[in-house]
This record gives sequence, C-alpha cells and structure tokens, in this order.
Amino acid sequence: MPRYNYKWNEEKIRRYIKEGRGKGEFEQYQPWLTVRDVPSTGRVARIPGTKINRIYHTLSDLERNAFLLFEWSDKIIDIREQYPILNRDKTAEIADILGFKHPVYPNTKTKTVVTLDFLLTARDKSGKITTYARSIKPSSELTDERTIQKLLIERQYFMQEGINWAVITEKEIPKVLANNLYDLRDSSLYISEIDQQLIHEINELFLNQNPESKIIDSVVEIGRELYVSHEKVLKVLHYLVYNKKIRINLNEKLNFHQSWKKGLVD
Amino acid sequence: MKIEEQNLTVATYFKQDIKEYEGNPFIEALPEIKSQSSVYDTLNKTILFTDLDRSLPLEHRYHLILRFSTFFQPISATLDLERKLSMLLRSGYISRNPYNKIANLSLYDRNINTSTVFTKSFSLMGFPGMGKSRNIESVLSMYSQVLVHRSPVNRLQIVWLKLNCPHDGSLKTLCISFFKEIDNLIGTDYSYKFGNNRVSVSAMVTHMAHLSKIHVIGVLVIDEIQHLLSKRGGSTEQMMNFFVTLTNSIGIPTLLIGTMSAKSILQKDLRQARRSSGLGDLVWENFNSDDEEWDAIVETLWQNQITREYTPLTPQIKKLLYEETQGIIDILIKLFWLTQCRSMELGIEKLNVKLIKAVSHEDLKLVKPFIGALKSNNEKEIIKYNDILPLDIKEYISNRKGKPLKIISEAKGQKNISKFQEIMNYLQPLNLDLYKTEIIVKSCLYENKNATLAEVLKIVVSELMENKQPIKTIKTVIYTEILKLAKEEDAPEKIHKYLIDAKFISNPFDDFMGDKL
Repeated sequence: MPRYNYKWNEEKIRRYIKEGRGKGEFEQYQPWLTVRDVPSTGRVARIPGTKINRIYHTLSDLERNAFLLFEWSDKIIDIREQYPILNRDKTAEIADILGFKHPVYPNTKTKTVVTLDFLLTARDKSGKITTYARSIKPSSELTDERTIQKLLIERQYFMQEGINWAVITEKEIPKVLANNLYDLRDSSLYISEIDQQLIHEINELFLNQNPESKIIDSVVEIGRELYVSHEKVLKVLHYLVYNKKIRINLNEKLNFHQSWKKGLVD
Repeated sequence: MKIEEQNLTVATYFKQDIKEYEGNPFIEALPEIKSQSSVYDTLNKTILFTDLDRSLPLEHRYHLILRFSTFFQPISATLDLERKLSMLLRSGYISRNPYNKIANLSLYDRNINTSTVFTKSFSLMGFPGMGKSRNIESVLSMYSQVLVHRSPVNRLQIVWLKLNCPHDGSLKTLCISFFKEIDNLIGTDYSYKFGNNRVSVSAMVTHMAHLSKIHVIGVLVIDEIQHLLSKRGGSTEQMMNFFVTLTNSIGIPTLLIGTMSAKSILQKDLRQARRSSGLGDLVWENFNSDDEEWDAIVETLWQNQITREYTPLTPQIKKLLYEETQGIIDILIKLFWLTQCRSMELGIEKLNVKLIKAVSHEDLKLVKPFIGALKSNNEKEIIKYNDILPLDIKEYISNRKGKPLKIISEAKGQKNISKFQEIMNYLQPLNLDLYKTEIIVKSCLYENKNATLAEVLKIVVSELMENKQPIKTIKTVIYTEILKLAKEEDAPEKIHKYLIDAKFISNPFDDFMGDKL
C-alpha cells in the first residue's frame, strides 16, 4: 500500500476490518492504526513488547510513556493500543443523544471509526479479569470544546459496555519514571540469553551488599566473584530493577554511582 | 624484469641419494628430505610471550592476546602429513624429468603418451577446528613456492598450489582462482587470457592441464572440498572427475582436504583414482581424553599466560578443558584466550576452574551443540555440525515466546447490558433521585418495547421533567462545567483538577500499580 495515502473512505474501513485490525489479543492483536497510517504530529514509535512479543505502535511521546507504565504494571496482562470501536451506529447514536456531531474523517463525509488509545486487560490478585479503557490526552487539550465532546462520546460508549473509562494526562505520568523504564526494559528483551540460574545467583549477591557501598562498585565486585563481564551483570541489574526484584527509586534519574542506601526504596 | 627483483628463488640443486630422484632437476631443487625432529623444530611456534610482555600495561596485553592466532604446535599427525606430502611431491616429478626426452616432447606433442605416470594422491578429512588448513599451510611453507630453473632447463617451477573450493561449489570459480593464483605467483596474465567468463569450463580445464604441465606444478592442494556438496546436480562429479584427470593423465598429485561431510564425495568418486595409493588417507578426529598429544598441547598452551599471575595447570583444570572442548584444538585455544581476556577484564589476573567454566558457558555458547554431539559420540550427530555454527542473535530473540494465557478477553458478562442499564448510565450524571428514576425508566421501557434507545430516552426525560425534577440536558454536567472553566484564568489547571474530582481523569498508579512502586 502506498505510504502517504491517508484518505479515508468506507472501502478502506472495510479493508482494515478484513485485515483483522482491532481483532485478537496478546501476540495476535493488530492495532487499528499503525505508525504508517497516520500523518502524526507527534513522535511515533514502534516498541517491542517485553510482556507480549509483538511490536506496539504509539503515536506520541505521551502515549509511549503511558504504554511503558502499563507494561511495567504487574496487574495488566494485555495491552491493546489504537483500539477501534467498529460499531459506528452505536457511537452515532450516542453522539445524537448527547447532541454532539459525530466526528468525520477530514474532507469526507465518512464517519470516523472512534479509536481508543489503550484497552487494558488487568488481573488482580484473586485472578479476576477486568477491562479498562484509557484515553491519553495532554492536559492543555482538555480546554478544547471539541476534544471534550469526542471524549464524552467515548466515555458514554464504554460506560454502556460496562468498562471503566478515564483520561490520563501527562500530569499523571512522571516523565522521569517513564524514561527510566525505557532504559531498563531493554534488558528484559534480551534476558533470555542469560540463564535463570545466573540471574538468581546475581540477585542473591545484590541483596547482600553493604548499604554504604556504591551500586556500581557492587556490579564490579559481583562480576569478579562470578567471572561474568560487567556489562552482563549490569544488564542483569537492569532486569532485576525492572522486574521489581531490586527496588531502586525510579522517580529520580537512574544513578548507579550512588550508594545502595540512597538508591533503594524501603 | 629481472628474476631477483621478482623475489623468486633461483634453484640450487642438491645431490640425491635415491636412485629415482637422481638427475631430475625438479626434485634436486627441492629442500632436502628432513628428519622428523627437524620438521618439528621448524614448524614449532609455541612460545608466544616473554616476561617483558607480561609486564606490559593492561591495554597492551589485550593486543598481545591476538598472538594466539599464530599458536601452532606440530603433533605426530603434522609430521605424518609432512612425510606423506614430501613423498607425494617427489613421486609426481619422477615422470616429469626435463632431461627425459619423452616427458619433454609430451609438452608439445599430443601423440606421445606418458603412460608411465604413477602419481598418487591422497585426502585429508577431519573435524572442524582440528587444524587441517593450519597444518597443511605450515607444512607447505617449508617449500619455496616458485623455483627458477636457469639454462639448460629454463623453466619456472611451481612447487605447490593451494586453492580453496569456492563456497558455492562452482567449478568455474575454482578454475578462475587457479589462474589468479598462478598470476600472483609469477606475474603472468593467464586469468585475463583464460579466466574470463566467456571461456567455457571445459576449455578452462584444458588450459589448467596445460599450465600444470608447463609450470610443473608439484602438488595441487584443494581445501574445503565439502563445499562441493552444496551444489546440486552434476558439478560434484564434474569437479571430482577433473581432479582424477589431473592426477591420472597429467601426473599432478592432488591433495584434497575437507571436513567429515566430504567423506561421501571422496569415497564415491576417488575410488578409481586411488588405486591402492599406498599413501592412505588421513582422518583427523578429535583427541581422546587420555591422548598424550592432547596433554602435550594443553601443557604447551597453558604456558602462554599473559595475566599478571601465573596459574599452574592442575589435573582438575585439565579435565575441565577436555570436557569443555572435547579435544578440539581450535576450541581449546579460543577458550584459553577468552578466559584470559575475561580474567584481565575483571581485574582478577589469574585463572581458575570457575572462571573457565563461566567463560565456556557464555562465550562458547554457539559451539555447545557441536560439543554435545561429540560427547554423544554419534557420527551422524557430528556430521550435522561440519561448519561452524553461525552467530544468530535473531534466533535467540525469536525464542522469547510469550507464555500463552487463557483468559476471557472482554469480560463477556459485562457486555450484554440491558436497555434499562444503558438509560440509567445516561442519567447517572444528573444526580437524580435514584429510586424515582428507576421506576420511571422501567415503566417507559415497558410501554415502548419497540422504540430505539434514543426515543425511549426522550420519553424518559420528558417524564422526568413532568415530575418537576430540576433537570438539565444530559450532556450538561461535565461539559458545561468545562466550558465555564475554559473562560477563566489558569483554565488548564482548573479543568484538570475538576476532571480528577469528576473521575473523568484517573491516575494509573491508583488503578494498576497497587501501593508499591
């Protein structure tokens, strides 16, 4: 398909549905919109998932940060980005009742397929499955009348589906944390190359460090003890922090040159 | 250009004690037949580091590690190979004495049949990493490759020529490399004349045969013969036939080298070529753990430590080294070298069992299956691993498979919401008296069973109005509030705060993170 053909019409929507977009879950899910389909004004990204092995498409930095946060959560087991509401009769009805105009694609009369930023599947400790719908918006855009209207349509739809819906703005997502997660998550992508036994050993050693010593010194120390290169130990440390085995304060910029005492969260 | 300027060796002739070799300048010009011990001394390159090297700073010592690639210790197999090669070389020249009238005429006259040829050829097969190529190159390096014979012989003698089988098994590429190789040696332009793509393979072969005669090639060494297997069709046969022709009709000894997978080729096609060759074929398998030669190699190698502290070789380390390398020399050298690298990296500056284990486990991951096959001692398994396993990071990544989770995707029970519930959802933001509203909605629904949701809702709203409820339109609450706030100062902050209170904005930490971070 040509890359810069962003014109929408009924036929294109039919084609997308036929392609199976918006269907499936976990590895099989295909987002309604990919990075290629949108003349994005923000910074798009394709991110390989650490939990689910597929590429995620985010259409702005804010979406990316939200995604990183969701993925890091223990409760969330599946993330479906750019989730389409294919039942346009329903959204049209809602718009009608609320007295708003249903959104249409630019320069057409085609009704837009309303797309939710993230549909999340969460599982709590008791094993209960709940679905959450989350829209990501910069808080500055919430003063805009039309934006609010569209959000209200979304909200009404999911309320009727019995799904908890809400907006998340940049104020709810600590930037520093998101950036730290971005730096740490790589280790999870490649950790399969390191065997679990070694990770376990390194973890044990990290837990028995003198709280006064610098974190980076411990890395060198452990490398020497187990005859593993520093890079690898560092990678494992990243992995352990990302997986909450070692609880370092992630709300400040990662700094392994400080002591354990300063870095650890009680 | 003068011969001296071309760096070519001018032949000097040694008197021969063996009758067949006497009076044959091509043989007399070769170095004298060496005793085994002198061969060993010539080839031995085992002492790599001096005390001075060990005292260098770390960064310099890293560079010294590269010297391991030159490590070479002759073993009895090397001496065996040398002996066979020197016999092979000379036997090929017996029938090509320039002072022999018939042999000389046969260069120009096709009618003269030199059927007195009794050339031999043999082959060398072995596991990868046993140093086949390294050994043959060292042995060949004992002979000068080109000898210049002045009058009366007037000939450039090429003592040996080593070609690598092209990786795609193409015969044409092999022929071209033959011409190129000769051009590099003696500055001719054969590859331009015969080695261009317009020349057919059969023509090239003819030219090769001719050149082999003119330049009296002593022995033709073809390495990586297993590449012939990679090409389908008859080219394997064609190539093997070519080697046989070379050996039988021209009298040029050939030495074929390949991994174990080449066994099938050699057994199938060379049967007629090796009529009881007498030289036999060499097969180099990995060392057994109790092999004295293996011990010797380990011990010699072990002396080459570049770390600050010298670690003595214990029986325990010896045992481990065999286990991790299964008697493959190349893997042994690499393991030893990587271990030292790691030791310097970590600043330990000595070696021990645990370190060797860790390095082998991590850095030799890719040869692990091969080692496993050797341990199993199953030839079929081993043949699978004839070429070094490629580094395939992608495969590792694709092995990360998410664990399939069986969950109900959308909590389906929540989906089929009654009309009643839907209407109640719409009315929710109005903060009505719940009990009263429910009654009204239910009755409206009952009366208008076939109406659409919107119609029912209108009726409900009008009913509620009649009930003197303080009613706003449905969209009001949040929407109007925002429109109002948007006109004020600090609108974004105020709206943000209001939306949090209205549960329109929700904090992901409360929802998904629990209390811990």
